[in-house]
Amino acid sequence: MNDLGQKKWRKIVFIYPRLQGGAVLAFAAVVVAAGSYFTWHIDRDVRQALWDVSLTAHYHFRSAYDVVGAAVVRHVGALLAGTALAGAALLLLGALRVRLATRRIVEAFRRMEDGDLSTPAGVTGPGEFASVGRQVDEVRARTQEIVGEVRAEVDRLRKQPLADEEFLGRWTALKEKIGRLAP
Amino acid sequence: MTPLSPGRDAFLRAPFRNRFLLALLVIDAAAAGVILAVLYFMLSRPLAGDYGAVFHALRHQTAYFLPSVAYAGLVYVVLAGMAVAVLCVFRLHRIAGPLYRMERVLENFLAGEAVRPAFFRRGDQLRALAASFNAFVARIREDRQRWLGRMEHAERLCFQDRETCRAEMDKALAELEVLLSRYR
Repeated sequence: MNDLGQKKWRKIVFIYPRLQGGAVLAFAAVVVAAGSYFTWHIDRDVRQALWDVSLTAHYHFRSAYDVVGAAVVRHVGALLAGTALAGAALLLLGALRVRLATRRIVEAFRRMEDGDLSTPAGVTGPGEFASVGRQVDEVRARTQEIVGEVRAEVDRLRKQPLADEEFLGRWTALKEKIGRLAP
Repeated sequence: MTPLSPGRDAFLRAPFRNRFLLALLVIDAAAAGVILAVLYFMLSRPLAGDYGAVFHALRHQTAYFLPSVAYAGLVYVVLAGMAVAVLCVFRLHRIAGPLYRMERVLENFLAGEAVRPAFFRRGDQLRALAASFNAFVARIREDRQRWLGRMEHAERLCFQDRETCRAEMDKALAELEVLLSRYR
């Protein structure tokens, strides 16, 4: 409850496994790859440095960190920079795909608004975008079907010589068909 | 068709993308900080004793460095991976929500039920989806009203004689045919 005594709505967190799951897997792959590369490289360099320093005549250090500290910081810095760059690239790529898929859906709606009911949306994209694209195509096909039926009925009413009673029956049916369009 | 201008039609807003990127960098930096701390803790133990003891300690560290750094790497992967997973779920629901909403609205349309305009929550992305769908439905309804209005106008004239009624209806059908021609 807030200060005015109104019930606060709980924030709904929508989870689409194909959308968020795909993003999680992609970013996790970057983290795993970066972690593995880091482990392999730092192990090779640090072991070599410790081995080399063990062979010197005099030890002027208090701990192994004094020997390999700079290399460790350099490797961790490289890990940070590499992961940040790969993450940013992945994010931009994902944003681009989302943007392209959304643009195709929006363009499909605009074409339909302008009367073009024959061009498919052709949406390909991450996860649920393709599913929404298919639904947009179904909406387009459905609208095209109703408009086609209306057009055919108008044509029949205009061209066929019908008795008044039959004409009125078909006239009423035509109105019902038109009423089915986005009720 | 009106061309899409990125300034007016919001797909993914820049602040949303930048905040996501910033959160990624923070997670990355925090995980790198943890791995640095783990490595510092492992390597900063003082090497005490005479030359031989230090020599053996260094060789010992050389031999056991791989398991230690692999453990640190695992900690990094688990921490960063979990944080990124939480980030993706809780930030990308601003994209998943509008998609869910659009799916329900389109299902509603296909089921032939009364179509309501699509509205997204505050902070949701892909607002151009709702705007374009609403514009499409508005246009369809406008056309439907125009067609029905023309037919009803003809029906009103049926209170006069039969010939006038039929002539008006034929005229309405001819107009309807013209109005329908914008759909292809």
